[in-house]
Amino acid sequence: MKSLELRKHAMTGISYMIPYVCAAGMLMVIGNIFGGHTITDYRAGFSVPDALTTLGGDGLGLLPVFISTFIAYSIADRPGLAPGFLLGLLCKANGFGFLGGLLTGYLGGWVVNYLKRVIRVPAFAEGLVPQMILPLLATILVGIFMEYVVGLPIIALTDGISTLLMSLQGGTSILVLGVILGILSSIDYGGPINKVVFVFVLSLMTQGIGAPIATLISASMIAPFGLTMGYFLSRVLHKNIYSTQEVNALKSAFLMGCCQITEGSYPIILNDLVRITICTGAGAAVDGALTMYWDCASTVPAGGFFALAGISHPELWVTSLLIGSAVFAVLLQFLKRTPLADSDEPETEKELNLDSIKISG
Amino acid sequence: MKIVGITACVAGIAHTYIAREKLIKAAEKAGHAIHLETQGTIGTEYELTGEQIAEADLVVLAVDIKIKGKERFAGKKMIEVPTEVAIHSSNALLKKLEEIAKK
Repeated sequence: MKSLELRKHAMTGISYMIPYVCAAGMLMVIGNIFGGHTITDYRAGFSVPDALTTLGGDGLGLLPVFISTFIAYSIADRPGLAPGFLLGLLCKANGFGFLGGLLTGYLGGWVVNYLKRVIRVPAFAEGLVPQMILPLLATILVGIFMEYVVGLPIIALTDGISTLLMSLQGGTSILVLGVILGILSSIDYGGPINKVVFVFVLSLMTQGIGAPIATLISASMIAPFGLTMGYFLSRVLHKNIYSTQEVNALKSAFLMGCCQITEGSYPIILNDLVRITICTGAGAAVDGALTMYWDCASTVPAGGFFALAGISHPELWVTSLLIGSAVFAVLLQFLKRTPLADSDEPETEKELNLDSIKISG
Repeated sequence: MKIVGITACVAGIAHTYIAREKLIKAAEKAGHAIHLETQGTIGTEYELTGEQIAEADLVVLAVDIKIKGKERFAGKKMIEVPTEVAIHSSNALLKKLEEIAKK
């Protein structure tokens, strides 16, 4: 069997995605700096920063669509684009998030390739195969699978989390709640779990309980900040755990992180999803416990550092973010895989890795 | 030997071009003619001409991602490696290419 080349397809998607994330993320950052707010009614009038913030936010919201489209394209070429796009929309609508988009990209691409091989039609209908039959069938098949096979456990999971959070509201120690909120807010990087927590803490905020939302804001920033701190720590320790590409990605990841935008960190996180997510969970747990313990309450639902004006005890809030990031950074030194050494040593050639060579023709 | 090929990395801003330079250097050292196209984030540069491809004995692809225009090499012997191999082991890779071309 031909290898699935999971990594290559994800990398192709990310390769297309990097300029998209940078542009959308920076739109939002610039908009936020100048006090932009998300526009809900365009006819009611808006400022330039509002427009930037909204466009950037919409762009990042469509990230599942973008990644799904281009992974499917990488796998199935042109016929992959349409189902990849539609299935990405399904992920966005259902709140399956970026990781859902990755999944539909792979599934959409593979199903198209499979259908390409097996579908046989009479000659007069051959033109219909790439135009309609492939994209339609692939979208239906993967769409049903996503809604009824992948979707059900996700719904069960999100319901379970709501129940858990509700049950924690009364009585349980504030530290435990902080740990759980921190972990749940951060570990799927803005995916379905994060969204459930957001709905929960937002409803608490409207009841005047502002600490949980401050915890969520802070925990969402752990990944970019932890990665940044981890980079500097690795330099101090002379450990080489970041590749040049990752260092490049880190710059925009950090800037976006200041605005509580996690998406900029994806190019780094996806190189090592499980290990980095362990760091994220641990950092966010500590961070969550501290923000709850210090009772940093927010009256603003989102915005990263731009929410600071609405957070009580802002200095303690920043401190807990830094401590959480430090936990992330230290763990990362042990967990993150060392990338291949960088390029500029001319005469020390590495032995040729024969497994990596593919010959055809 | 005449070689053509493509380099393309994930970010499409650095390794794509380093791989190209390393391969060109290694090929010239070994006395081969080489033409390499880059497919970076900016798009295709140093695009291969039909003539270059037609004359080539061997195609080398130093790519981490899906590339465009692979069909231009139909019928040619094609060797695909990750960019890091071209960057870190360019001379050894060239030797390997010579072996493969002889087969």
